[in-house]
Amino acid sequence: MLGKLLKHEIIATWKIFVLLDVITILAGGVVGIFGYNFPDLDRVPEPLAVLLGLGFAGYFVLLVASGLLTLVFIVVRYYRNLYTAQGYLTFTLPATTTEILSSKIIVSFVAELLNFLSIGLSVGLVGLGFAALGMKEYPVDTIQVLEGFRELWFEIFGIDGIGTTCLYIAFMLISILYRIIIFFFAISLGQLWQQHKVLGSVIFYFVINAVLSVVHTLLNIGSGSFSLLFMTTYDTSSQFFERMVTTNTIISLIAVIGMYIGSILITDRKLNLD
Amino acid sequence: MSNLIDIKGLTKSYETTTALFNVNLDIEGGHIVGLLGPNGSGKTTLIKILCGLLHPSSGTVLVDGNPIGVATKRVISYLPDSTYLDGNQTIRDTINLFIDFYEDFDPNRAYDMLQKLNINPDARLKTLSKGTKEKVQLILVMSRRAKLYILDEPIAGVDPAARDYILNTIISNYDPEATIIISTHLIADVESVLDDVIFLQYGQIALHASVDDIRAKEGKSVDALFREVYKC
Amino acid sequence: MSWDLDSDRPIFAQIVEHLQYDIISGVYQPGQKLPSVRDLAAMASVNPNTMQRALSELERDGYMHSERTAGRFITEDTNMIQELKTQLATAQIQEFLESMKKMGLTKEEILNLVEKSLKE
Repeated sequence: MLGKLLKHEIIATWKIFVLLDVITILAGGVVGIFGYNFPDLDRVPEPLAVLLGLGFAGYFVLLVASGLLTLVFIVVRYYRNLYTAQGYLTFTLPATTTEILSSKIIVSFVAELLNFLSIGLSVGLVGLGFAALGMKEYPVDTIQVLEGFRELWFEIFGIDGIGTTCLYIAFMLISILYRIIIFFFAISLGQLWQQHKVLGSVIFYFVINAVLSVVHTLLNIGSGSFSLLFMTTYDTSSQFFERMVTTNTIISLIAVIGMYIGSILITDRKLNLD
Repeated sequence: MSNLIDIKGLTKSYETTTALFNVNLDIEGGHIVGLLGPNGSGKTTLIKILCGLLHPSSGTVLVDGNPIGVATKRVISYLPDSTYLDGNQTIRDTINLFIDFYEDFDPNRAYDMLQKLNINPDARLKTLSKGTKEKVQLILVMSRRAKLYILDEPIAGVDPAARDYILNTIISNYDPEATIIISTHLIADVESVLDDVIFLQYGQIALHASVDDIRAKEGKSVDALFREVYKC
Repeated sequence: MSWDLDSDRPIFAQIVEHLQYDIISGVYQPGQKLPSVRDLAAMASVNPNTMQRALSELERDGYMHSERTAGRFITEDTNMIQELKTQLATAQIQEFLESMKKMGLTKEEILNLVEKSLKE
């Protein structure tokens, strides 16, 4: 049943997600090509320079919009499909609440991840364009540059192999999941109110965020992540980041599991579609 | 042979009101039942509990011998009193969804009925008029071979021609083994289609009898009796 | 509503009556096949279960019979149909005479009036 739910969740949503991601990547490509042919600003007339500036500003607005729209679409879809009249269909399907909620969470997570990657790719393309422009004038050894990056990453973040790479990827994935599941959990909690359920969800969202921030901070201090900031030990930057990322991955993972179970329990036990 | 619907001591209360109070109800298979009562008498609450959209405060509800859950959702075909389909989807998308989720769904029947009404299956639901949308929903619901059909106000707010079409669809798709529950406050229009009627009043069952028994005993139509019972 | 049904009498009895009239008036000829229960119910806008019971009742009385696969047929016994016609007509006449009596008309007066009406 989960497979069927996933299939129909994808059918109903993929067009919007893919459209946003494709626009994001294309925009990056266009700006990148533009960057490669970027004129020397001292030699262009002022109106053109202003236009170029606006173009870049527009690109960044587009990046932000891409991320926001994806998130808004995910949250609105989740709310409407479960807790408005559409829920009459969703919750009369012969599937368990766990299956229904899981299908939505999985598809939302993948959509967020793809959006995140497409924004990354888009920015990467822009960077590539400008880097290529730079290399036209000052040829450098690409291998050497990449090697330099690797060393820098090791210096700052302590990324030095498969283990730490996996840690950072896990951190990224959990963070994405964490971000959307707070919305979902807040929406479920809002359903406990007799009236003003949307308002309830909004308030719960801020409350959950506040509570979790405090928990994060306290546990980070407790685990010694912030020792560098407090100068209590002589951690290196990489030790600091590694510890912080590990701590936060674990906290977020626990929070995600808790909110996942909480959402299912609330919906299963207390569902009241009026 | 156990009853199709078996409700014992069902109560549903909210913070300030009680929508259903200590309802006991048995309904057998193979009946067309009218669920009658004025607004706020608990009709929709009872229906939503049967469909698993509301949770009872206390009491037990069995459908086809099972507590409300996946097993009962498989055998219940539910028509809500409002539009519940995703407007961005086409009728065909929705039919495909029904094919995947309901083993008892017969797509040929659905396409047949759509064709008779000249409704294009590739139309997006949000482009359809309210009346057409309601017909599409009824077609989907009646194209299942369910054990229990629950139709919440299927004829409210439609013109007489549409009303006849809807009742005709219900009758001509009816399988003698199945039970249909029709909730309505327009009794005169459905009276001749019903086997039994249930009157709900203040969240309790005021009467549960067969239409012909009522007519034979009272010498008046169920509609007339209803008006008497609920006279304000 | 294609069948005109009274709202204050049991539907079952009215369906039986309606079908009886259809048989004696020749809407359904002797030996003719009847539409399916579902179609009849849809035509009459009544509950298929009630239609089924009405048909069973008429079957029990011998006005129709069903063949396992072929469907349901009107009896070919024309005498029986004639008898039903007489029976129903007599019932109507009895009722009519009752009301005439209530109005205080004598047998002769009734007969005269009926004859006069028939000639018009």
